[in-house]
This record gives sequence, structure tokens and C-alpha cells, in this order.
Amino acid sequence: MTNAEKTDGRQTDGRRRGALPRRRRSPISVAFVVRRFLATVVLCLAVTFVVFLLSNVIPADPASANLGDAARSDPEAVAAFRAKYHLDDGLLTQYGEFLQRLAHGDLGTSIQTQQPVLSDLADRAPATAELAIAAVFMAVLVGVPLGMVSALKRDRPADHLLRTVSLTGMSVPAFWLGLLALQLFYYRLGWVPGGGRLPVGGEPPPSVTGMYTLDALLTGRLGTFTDAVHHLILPALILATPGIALLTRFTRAAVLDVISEDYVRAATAKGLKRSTVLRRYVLRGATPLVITVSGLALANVFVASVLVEQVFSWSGLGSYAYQSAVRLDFPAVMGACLCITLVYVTINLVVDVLYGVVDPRIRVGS
Amino acid sequence: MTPVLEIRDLRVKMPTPRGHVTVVDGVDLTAEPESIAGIAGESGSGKTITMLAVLGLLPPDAIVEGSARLAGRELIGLPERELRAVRGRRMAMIFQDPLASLHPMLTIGRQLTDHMRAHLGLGRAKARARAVELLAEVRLPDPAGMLDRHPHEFSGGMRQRVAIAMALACEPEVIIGDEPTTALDVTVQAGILRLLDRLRRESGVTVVLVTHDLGVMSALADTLSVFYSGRVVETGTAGTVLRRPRHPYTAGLLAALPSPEAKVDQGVRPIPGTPPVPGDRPSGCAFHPRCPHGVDQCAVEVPAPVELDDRHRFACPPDPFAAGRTS
Repeated sequence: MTNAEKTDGRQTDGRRRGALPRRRRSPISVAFVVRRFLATVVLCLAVTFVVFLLSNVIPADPASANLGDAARSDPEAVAAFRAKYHLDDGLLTQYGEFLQRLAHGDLGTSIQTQQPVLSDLADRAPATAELAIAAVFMAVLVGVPLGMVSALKRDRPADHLLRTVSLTGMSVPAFWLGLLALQLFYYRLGWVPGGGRLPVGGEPPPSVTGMYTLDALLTGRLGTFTDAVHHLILPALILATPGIALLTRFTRAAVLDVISEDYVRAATAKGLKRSTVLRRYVLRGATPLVITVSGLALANVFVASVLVEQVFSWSGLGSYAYQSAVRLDFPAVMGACLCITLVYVTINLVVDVLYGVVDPRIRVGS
Repeated sequence: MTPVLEIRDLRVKMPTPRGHVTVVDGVDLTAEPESIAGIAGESGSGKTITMLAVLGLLPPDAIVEGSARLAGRELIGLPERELRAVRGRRMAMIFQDPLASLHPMLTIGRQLTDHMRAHLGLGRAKARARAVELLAEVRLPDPAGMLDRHPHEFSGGMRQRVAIAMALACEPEVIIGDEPTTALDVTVQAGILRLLDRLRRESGVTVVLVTHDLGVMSALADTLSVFYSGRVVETGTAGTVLRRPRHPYTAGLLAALPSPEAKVDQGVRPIPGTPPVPGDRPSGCAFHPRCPHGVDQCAVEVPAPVELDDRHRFACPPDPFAAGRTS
């Protein structure tokens, strides 16, 4: 009998007698990972197909979008362009070829940069990752305490204010907020730089992770680190805004939910300090919801980054996706979409696994 | 003997959308040292609210008046800081549903030690050692192995034993058990009650036992107070109250008990009508609309309690069950 069987047997046996085995269950099962992996493959296929169709049915011509004025009026140049990117093949043939290359890990060559899409994505992903991570950290660090305050001051002025502000924060489009913030903090006040990841001519730190702040720290370049943080702070804050608002509202709801639980009253009846009860019992009870919403916020950051990166000249995945879409750079669009799909799926997977970690009652996938 | 817990004329008004409503109306209650003081009554009769009021656990907008003394010290109106030093340390509480009253995501060890560390200033290792002792004291198997596990891994009876161990942790003078067996299987209830009884004898703790189960009362309680609609309608030693009830409500509760011999449709006589909702209490004696012995005066006057020589008190002036009278 294996250990796993033993513990399972104990689970169903109501009368557990004698010594209980000390064990720490793994929060995920193998079957769960396999299932999720297969689902991811299917999802990616579906996404590529839809994006492929959409890119091809729109009434625009990549040749005229990418060729210069002179070349555009030269039928031979246009024909050569179309032949190079197989634009005259049937749709299904094109899609089949795309899949075939994809199976070999080849996303094709970007029309715009003339580089393999895969290496373009690899170049730009760290920049977006840096931005997104910073944004979600800000969202959690600000949103959770605000939500807590809002719940504890329920129906009092502070609560009303926070609820109004958070509703506004959720409704305002991030790129518009970004433009306003640039106008104020860069143009008027000069507190932050106007865009980019480093000052013009600034030398990026040696690449370890591709995230400038982290790399600068790892390689001990404090000056570069300060510069990078300086450039990061405003776009990250703009991207964090909807997340802060979302977390404020959901943390408020979760705390109000948990605070009326019996176990909170029981903890108070034990004579624990209110701050201990709030921290250890209430906030802990609210973590599953906070994790869900943080995952949601992180996923939203990737969507918002498409326009916000453009506003802040941040050369990440978002601006890459934007520029590829405008230029009808199909291979790049497909690559960017695939990449964002994978990020989405991964975030969801991480959220599900974290449930099992924070809540011992949940064994993910069973 | 000086009572450990003495509640005098306790009144609680709870906030509702239609203003404050009196849910506890002049309750008197006494618990002698090392006794089990039973409190019986239907849901909504104010039993639990009374106990929560004593520990200051009601929402801040509840209005609490009257007196509740723990070993002579007034608790009502005590500042939060001082109440905190009483809660869990001198007076602990066991709640009805152990699954709901234990935090599902924290380990048993954590929940068993955090108030010991706060109240007794124990270090982590000492608190854990004491936790193991406590779990053994409430007769749980493999106490050391339990500390790092979570409540959902145990049965209801085991969880309630954990809750009792938590209540015992700081050696309080009084433990309030708020229907501690109601959520448990019948087969498990007896074990929990025997445990409480043993702890009372061994560690000299006073137990206030809130339950609507009169069978439990007759087996365990020394004294019994019967609540109806926020008032104590009858109180005395458990034996007297259960054998010779003087209040029609107590008599009705006893008649409503199924006895093992009688078939349900013969032996059980339910009390007609439904208990009043707080805020919509009948005038005079709140029980009068359901009482088979009521007289005109009952609907008008709130009955004053009558005290007999053996500390048996009841609030029913017509006294239909007086000795020599047949009802």
C-alpha cells in the first residue's frame, strides 16, 4: 500500500484512531496539470485560428501598408511582396503553413522588423513583464489596505469616498489616464521622464532577466536602477489604477463577508487584539478572493499595456502588438496574440494552484 | 458561596432597521463556583445574546444595561482593553458549530496557541507543549500530530474537543458553552457533555451551558434557568425545575419532550403557537397567548418573579402548578 492510498483511506474513514501520519499534501495532482496542458493547446489553436481569420478578412492590404509610396504603385514590387509572404495562397493553405511552422517553434518573420517574430517577442517580453509585475504589486499593496479601510469604515464618509473613487478608477480608460498623467507629471511638473525605459542614450544594464530594474540591481548599477525606476513608476501606476480600484472593491466585499464569520467572533472571544484578529483571521479568510482578483488585474494589465505602452514609448509586447496591428504585420500579430494567450492561461493556472496553497481544504483538480 | 458569575437585571437592545429592539429584558442569572448552570429556551429567546453581552461581543451599536459580575468585578461597560484581558483568559466561550468557529485556513496549533501566547506570555515552544497537553486532556488521539493540521481534517466531535481545549487553554474561571452539542451527531454529544462534566470536576471551572435540550440539562446541570422571549421565566436547581416545574412554559417544554416509551403522536404535546419574535412581544407575560392557564391579568402585567424557599423562582402569578392544585 502506498502512502497516498493510506492517506486516502483515512480520509474516508470517519473514525481515525491512533497516530495520525504527519504529511503535507501536494496542492496539485498530476492529472490536473495534464488536463490543463491539453486545454491550453486547444485554446492556443483556437486563438490562432480566430486571429488568423480576422487578420485576413479585414479589408486592408498589408502590401500597401508596408511598402513605400514608390513601391506601392509598382505592380511588380507589390506582387513580389505578396509572393514573399504567401499572401496569394488560399486561406487554409496559409493557416496550414502557419501551424506547420508553429509546430517547429517558428512564428515566422515580422514584416516590419525583418526579424524572427520569436526573437522580437523574447526581446520585448521582459519590458512588459517588468511593467506588469510592478503594476500588480502596486495594485495589491494599495488596493488591499484601502479595501480593508473601506470595509471597516462601512457606510461612513471614508467608505463612500473610497467606493466612489474606486468606481471611477475602474471606469477610466488607462491610456487616457496615461496621457493626462504625462501632461501633468512630465510636461507641467517635470517630476517624471516623458517615456521610454531609460534616459535617451542611457545604457541598459547587462541582460540577466531583461528587466532593467532587476538587472541593474543584480549587477550593482545603482544609477541605472534609479533611472529605470524613475521611468517605470508612472506607466506602472497608470496600469495599476484599474487593479487598485478592483482590489479595493473586492477586498471590501471579502472583508465584510469574512468579518461576520463565527471564527472571527470566536477569535475575539479568545481575547485577541483587534489588530491580530483582523490580520490573522479576517485578512487570511479574504486571501482566496484577493488572489483571484489579483490574477484578474494582472491579466487586465496585459490588455491595457497595448495602448499604455504606446503612450509611454515603452518597447514591450503591448506596443509591439499595437505597431504590428497598425502595419498589418500578420506574423507579428499572430505571435503577440499567442504570447498574450499563454500569459493569460499561465496566470489562471497560477491562481488555481495558489488556491490550494492558501486554503488547505482545496486540493486543486480533484 | 459567592457566585462566580452574577448577572442582574441585564437588558440588551439590538439595532434593527426599525430602531432598537429589546431582546433581553431584565435577566438575572447566577452561577456558583464549579457548577454547571444550565440555560434553556427556544431559539431567539435571548440566551446567546445574554452571554455575548457579558463578554462584550455584541456589535458596538447594541445597547447593554444592567450588571454582570465575574467574581465580583463588573463587566458591563468595561473598556475594550480590560474586556480583552477577561475574554479567553478568565471567561472563555465555546460556540455552537465547531466547523464555523475554527478558522478553516489556520492550523489547529496556531489557533490553540495564539491566545495563550497573548494572555500568558508563553513562547512558541512552551505554548505548543501546553497545546499538546490540552489536546490530550480533551482525549484526542495523537495530540502532537494534530497541531499542524487543519480543522477540516477532523470530525465534528473532534473539532468541538479542539474548541473546548481552546477554551481551557488559559485556565478560565468560567466557560460558556453556547449549544456546544447542537451541531453534533447524537452519538458524539454524550462524549462532549461527559468531557465538560469531567473538566468541571477536575479543573474546577464553572460551566454555563446554553442548550435547548432539556435531557442534557437533567443529566448535567446543577441549576437551570428557563428563558422565554428575553426574560427568565423560571429558575432553580435543575432537579426541582425539571421535576416540579411551576411555570406553564417549563411544563410545556417538558411535555413536548419525546419519551422513549411513548409513540410520537401520543407522548409528545407540542406547545401551541409560535415563540414571539423580538420586537413584537406580547404585552404582560410574553407567554400568555400560548398559555393554557392564562387569566386576564396575564395580558396586562409583566409578572413579578415569586421566590420559594429552595431558591426556586418563577414568574407566573396564577401559579397553576402550585402544590395541592391540579392543573
